[in-house]
Amino acid sequence: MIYIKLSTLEYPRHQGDIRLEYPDMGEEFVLPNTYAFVHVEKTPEYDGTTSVFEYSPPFEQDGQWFQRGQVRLRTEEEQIEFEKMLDRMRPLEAKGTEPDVIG
Amino acid sequence: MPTIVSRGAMSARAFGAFRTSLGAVNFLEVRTVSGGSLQYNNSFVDSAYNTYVTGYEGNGTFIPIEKINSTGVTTSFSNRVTGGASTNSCCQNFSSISSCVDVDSSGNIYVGGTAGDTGRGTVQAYDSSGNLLWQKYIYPGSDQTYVTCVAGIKYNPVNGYVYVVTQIGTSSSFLFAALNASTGALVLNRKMSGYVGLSGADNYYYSVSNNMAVDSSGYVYVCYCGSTVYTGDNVGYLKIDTGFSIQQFPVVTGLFASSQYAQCITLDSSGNVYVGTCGGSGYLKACVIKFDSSGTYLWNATASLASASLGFQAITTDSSGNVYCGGGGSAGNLGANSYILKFDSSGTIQYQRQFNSDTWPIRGLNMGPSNSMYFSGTFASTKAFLGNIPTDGSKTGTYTVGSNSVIYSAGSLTIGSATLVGTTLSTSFSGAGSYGDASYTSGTFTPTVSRTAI
Repeated sequence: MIYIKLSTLEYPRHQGDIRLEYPDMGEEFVLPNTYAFVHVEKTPEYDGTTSVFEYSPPFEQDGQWFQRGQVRLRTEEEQIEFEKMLDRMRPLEAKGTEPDVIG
Repeated sequence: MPTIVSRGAMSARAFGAFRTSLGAVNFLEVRTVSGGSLQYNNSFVDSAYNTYVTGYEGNGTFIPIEKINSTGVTTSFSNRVTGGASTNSCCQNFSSISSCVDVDSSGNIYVGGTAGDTGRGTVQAYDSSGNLLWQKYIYPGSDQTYVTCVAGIKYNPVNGYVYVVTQIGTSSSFLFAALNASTGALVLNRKMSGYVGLSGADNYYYSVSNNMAVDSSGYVYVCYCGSTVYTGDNVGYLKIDTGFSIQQFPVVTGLFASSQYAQCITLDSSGNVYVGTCGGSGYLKACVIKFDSSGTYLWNATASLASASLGFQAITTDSSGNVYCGGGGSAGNLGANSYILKFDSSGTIQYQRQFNSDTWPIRGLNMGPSNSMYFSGTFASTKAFLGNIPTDGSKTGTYTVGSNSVIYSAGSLTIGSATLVGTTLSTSFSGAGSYGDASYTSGTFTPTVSRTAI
């Protein structure tokens, strides 16, 4: 559950953040009218090896708050950085075969 | 008022510890060593709230083992060299690193890591005064072609054994072994297919430390991911009894479409099991998965960034069933801030907090007194970082700690959940690889340099 603070547009905020501001709320969480629930678009299936999914800032529409996102191809620079990351994840080369003795 | 800790003996380097109080029991601390790095890879907090930390120091020659009491007074056991700097080609740039620490009820300290010159896994035991009790190598065979790192260590009070796990080099298998805590003698070891606590971060060999848990009945829980780590993996845990039989082997399948790493595990007071992971196609997402005490999958929650990989590398729970996940950049994105997230028992995010952008992942997370928790990690790549913060997420702000500006603030990760393909629950390791005896000859080694503890 993700919320936005309406007076400052601080986002994202969660139940624990709101409870700090309203310490007398009690056990049941009740959303104060100074905050609004944000409907966040679920991440779609996409090719993560070439693309990224980026969210827009939250926006209000017909009294409700939304956050939408879009898939875009990485820029050439971003792709180079991404492939560097993949390279760091690759197993290091080791010579020989796996020994069968723990000694 | 900062506390300055100086250590001399055989090193001319200066050590410093700078603590800033946040009020009550809470504090932030940055620790430094001149001429090199000081990094904390793991921590343990005992019932008296002494914090034990271990990691990496200087040029990779020394392993730091420190005991810090609740007022900041430090006892240093950082007097061991596990082989010196890397000279073995198989170790690549590996250095002596201590990865994991655990402490028994008598205050004996157990530390696991890697020897820099040989790439062999190491296990050491110290008494509560810092005297070395025993130390052992664990490595695969006399033909040492694989780096091993004892990545996880847990003392089991039910049978008095010290359990260790270590990934076996580039092979898709890991070692699970039990040692006699008094002598270091091998009790049993098992070689299993799959990966344990794999980081997906610094490099392939470096496993994350919080990969085992022990419950009050002596069952040992080891977080696990399957052997096809790049192709959409199984992730879960092994529950192993004191007779070394597997009692539960629950996994979730297809949590993410590709890479999947299990990184940390913990229990709550009801016996629920939490596994922290990172995985996904493209940039990796941090994920926490909850199972009940029977091994039944309950829920998962994810945290992600659009432009960097994240992973959860430390995890703990409170008495109300809330779970706290610490982590940060993964898969080489070490500068992607460090994070602590709180979820309630249903998996609802309560808050997300972050430290500066030049911090490395939180690698130690333990509950403290008065609704607080301890964390440890690395600040600005080269400085050890620890603190005690409220569990309710309060006391955010910018703090001056020595010459360091520590920013503790609300995070902006994208929170969600992953759709599973399925779950399986088994009582054997069949179908996922081998679980059998591996021959073993215990070895001993002598540190080449010993510094006097303060």
